Amino acid sequence: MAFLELDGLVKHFSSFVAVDGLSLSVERGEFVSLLGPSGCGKTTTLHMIAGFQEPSAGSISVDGVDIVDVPVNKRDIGIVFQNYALFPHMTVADNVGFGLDMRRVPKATRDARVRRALEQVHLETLAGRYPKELSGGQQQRVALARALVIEPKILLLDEPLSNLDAKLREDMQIELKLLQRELGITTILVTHDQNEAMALSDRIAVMHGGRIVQLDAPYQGYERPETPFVAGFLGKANLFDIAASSGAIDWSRIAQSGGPDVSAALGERGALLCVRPEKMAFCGPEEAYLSGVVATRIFLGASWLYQIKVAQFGTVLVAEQNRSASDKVEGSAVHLRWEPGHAALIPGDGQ
Amino acid sequence: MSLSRAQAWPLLMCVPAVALFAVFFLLPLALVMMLSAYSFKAGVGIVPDLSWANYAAVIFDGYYQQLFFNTLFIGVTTALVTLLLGMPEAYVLYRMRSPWRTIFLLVILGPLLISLVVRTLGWLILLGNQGVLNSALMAAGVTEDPIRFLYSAPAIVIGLTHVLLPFMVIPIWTSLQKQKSSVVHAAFSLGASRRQVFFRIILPTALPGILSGTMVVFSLAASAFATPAILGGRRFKVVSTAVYDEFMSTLNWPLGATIALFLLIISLGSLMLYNRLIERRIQRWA
Amino acid sequence: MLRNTPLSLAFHTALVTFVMAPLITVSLVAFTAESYLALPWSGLSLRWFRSVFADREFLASAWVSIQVAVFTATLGVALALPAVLAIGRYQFPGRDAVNALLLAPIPVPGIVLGVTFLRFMTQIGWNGTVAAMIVCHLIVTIPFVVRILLAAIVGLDKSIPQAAQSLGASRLAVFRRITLPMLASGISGAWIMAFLLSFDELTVAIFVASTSVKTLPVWLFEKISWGLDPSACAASVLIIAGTFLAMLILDRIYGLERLLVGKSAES
Ligand SMILES: Nc1ncnc2c1ncn2[C@@H]1O[C@H](COP(=O)(O)OP(=O)(O)OP(=O)(O)O)[C@@H](O)[C@H]1O
Ligand SMILES: [Mg+2]
Repeated sequence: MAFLELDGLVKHFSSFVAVDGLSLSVERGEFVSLLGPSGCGKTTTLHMIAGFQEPSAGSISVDGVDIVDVPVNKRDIGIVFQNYALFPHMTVADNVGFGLDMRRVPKATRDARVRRALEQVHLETLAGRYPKELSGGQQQRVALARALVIEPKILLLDEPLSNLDAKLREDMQIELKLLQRELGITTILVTHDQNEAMALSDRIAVMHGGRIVQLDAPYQGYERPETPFVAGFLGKANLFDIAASSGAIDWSRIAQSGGPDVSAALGERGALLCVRPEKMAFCGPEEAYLSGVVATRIFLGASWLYQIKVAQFGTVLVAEQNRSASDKVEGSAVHLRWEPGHAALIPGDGQ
Repeated sequence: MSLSRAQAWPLLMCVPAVALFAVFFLLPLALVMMLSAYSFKAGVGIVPDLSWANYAAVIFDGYYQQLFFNTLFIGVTTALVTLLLGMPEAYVLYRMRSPWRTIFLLVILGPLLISLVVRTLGWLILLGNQGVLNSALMAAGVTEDPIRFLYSAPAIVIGLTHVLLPFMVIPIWTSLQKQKSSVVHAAFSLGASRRQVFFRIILPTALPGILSGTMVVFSLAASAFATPAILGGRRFKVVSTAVYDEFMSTLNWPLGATIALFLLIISLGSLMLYNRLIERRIQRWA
Repeated sequence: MLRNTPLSLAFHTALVTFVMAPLITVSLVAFTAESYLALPWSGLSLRWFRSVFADREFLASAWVSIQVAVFTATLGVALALPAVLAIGRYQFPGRDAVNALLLAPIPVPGIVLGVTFLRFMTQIGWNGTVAAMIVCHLIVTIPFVVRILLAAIVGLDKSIPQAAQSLGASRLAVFRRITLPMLASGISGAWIMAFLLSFDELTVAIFVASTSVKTLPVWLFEKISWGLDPSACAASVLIIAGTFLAMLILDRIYGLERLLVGKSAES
């Protein structure tokens, strides 16, 4: 049995179902992200683990022990809120020391542990400040230190980085990952930022409508999405409906070059082919799977992003690494292909 | 239905306050309603026989009709005068700069916390026959004999206006405050004149405050006791002073209770009417 | 961009005069040397202050008022705080009803509350006691205490006590170490407000008072009704001074502007 086991969790708010039969196993020391659009039930799930909300059904166990009836303050779970929730009337050191006070840790040990925790997050010089006197990134690190200093069994992070600017967020992601590795603490991160989830997690649980729709390592989930929703949520994706796009795409050529057997996959429910924009390549007309016209071209620094209009199909996204100036001006005709192994086949949903 | 632990806690926390209110507010209110159906016999006292006699007396007797008319008159006049003074003042305050704004806001609103009886005493001295105002008027030769201000409707209206002005300024001020200054700037940038900004932007914003302020002032003025009692004296009676007389002089408690209930109904009724008619509409954007 | 015109400032000056006039008049008359209500043109004197301090009834009523106000404010906050915490923090059956009940006395005219209490306190034989006065003032002031506390609690971030709980704090520890300190300004603001409301309250007190137990406003009201002399003004000056002191403290602790118009002074 895994360290943290969520089994068939359900949460109703009167008639509204916020979490709908969610199951998840997290190993000791693992870093799992809950990724999903706004309102899909991420925070609710986290709050059930922390104990702020009672599940309507299902069980939560840690180390084989069911904790649904354990009160919040006995669960030994650290949580970092999106807004940090620092105690405004306490200094940084007292914020961090609060959990130790609650555990009646002797003063000397407490002070030493507070100091060490603040060192871990590089805040040892700000121990005497009040939260109001800190920047967003500093507050966030206090919140992290406060949750870590009690050495909780599980660390819950609810969009802890979403209030930070892009640069600071990247720095914090790296620090967070290093700290988590160093301490080996079992962590669940809630986020709706796919890059953050991929950068930090051992596994990502993509949520939709109160359920987990796919649970995989970041690379696996990205390369082999199992549903169109996951494909679209984890990165950008070109989704070709195999039945509908036979006029636009040369399926026989794909089959010849060793691609998936499309006709077998079709069946009743149809199927989609998922090709990531960076897997698309420009080529000559003789090898092309499809052809179109450049509609827009955007320079992103590391890459060029093209929107290609393909007759009878619509728009296809192509990302090309920036090796040199692009010669494909808007309006020019282009031909596209991809390595057959780079495409993923997704069973359709029958529509 | 059984309560989970999470629901029982908050209920328990409410028990002391709710118990107090049940015993010392709801129960007495119910008992006074019953009292209004009893009758009073001179020399005997309160007779617990249920009848509509008191209600009939209050509704059909010209004396009480006059009382209710007086009360309504005081309420409406005070509300209007307070509005005429409070609305411009709120706007003046709104246009003031930083330190003055706070200072004068406190000057205007601060008296709210100062004893009502003390303030009314001030008006008594100001308006009396040998009072400050009459002395000044006579000294200036405006009049030879003192003008009788006291113990009349105008005196009560002046006193109540003074007492209730904050209740008009506060809601209007609050409404105006909600208006971000960027909205006014946007209106100017779109070519509006100062007049247009006032009538098209500021006045509509203040409207919820104006309406609720008028309502509150009316209801407080109609049910006020201390000011009409001191400034109206024995000459100008309103409902609340009549209730006081019934309870403390005539000792006809059942009749007094009946009059009080009518006052309660008017007071609550006007608030409810206001909520239904006006507030619903405005709530959508305010 | 929006400025006051001379006309609007003239109006403002007139209104401020109107607001201050009765207070200033009372204060001036208190220092008169005459034996009747007159402005102190003929010389300042403290004789009416001496007279009021020699007045047994004044001192007794002031003492009753202070006792009643202190108990009302303390008990009011103690009773309202748990209820407000429940209303502000939790969803539970009957929540709206509790909230409505605790605010219900606000729209009830004071005179109606007064006769209601008179009848009830007479029936249970409490009328004319300090206890009855306190209970009545609790009903009158608790709604305002609830309002202030509710505003303070709703402004509190729910996740802060949750964070404390997750760090191992029990319900009691969360209350003592997080909620109470964070509500300190709201609680003391509510306490002082309740004190002032009770201290100034006349309409209800006049019905519950007896010849031996009366509050300061009742004493003043009776003085005004029968036998008004400048000592009433001297007493008023004392009341005004005391209120000013309370307002200063209130401003320090909670912010008067926030209390009166429901917004923090500088934000
Ligand atoms: N206390 C509540 N009462 C009623 N509905 C609620 C409550 N809390 C959450 N919900 C609903 O449950 C759903 C899931 O909420 P939740 O906060 O878990 O979303 P989330 O995935 O964290 O979204 P976000 O990314 O916006 O934070 C939402 O539709 C929300 O409206
Ligand atoms: Mg959330």
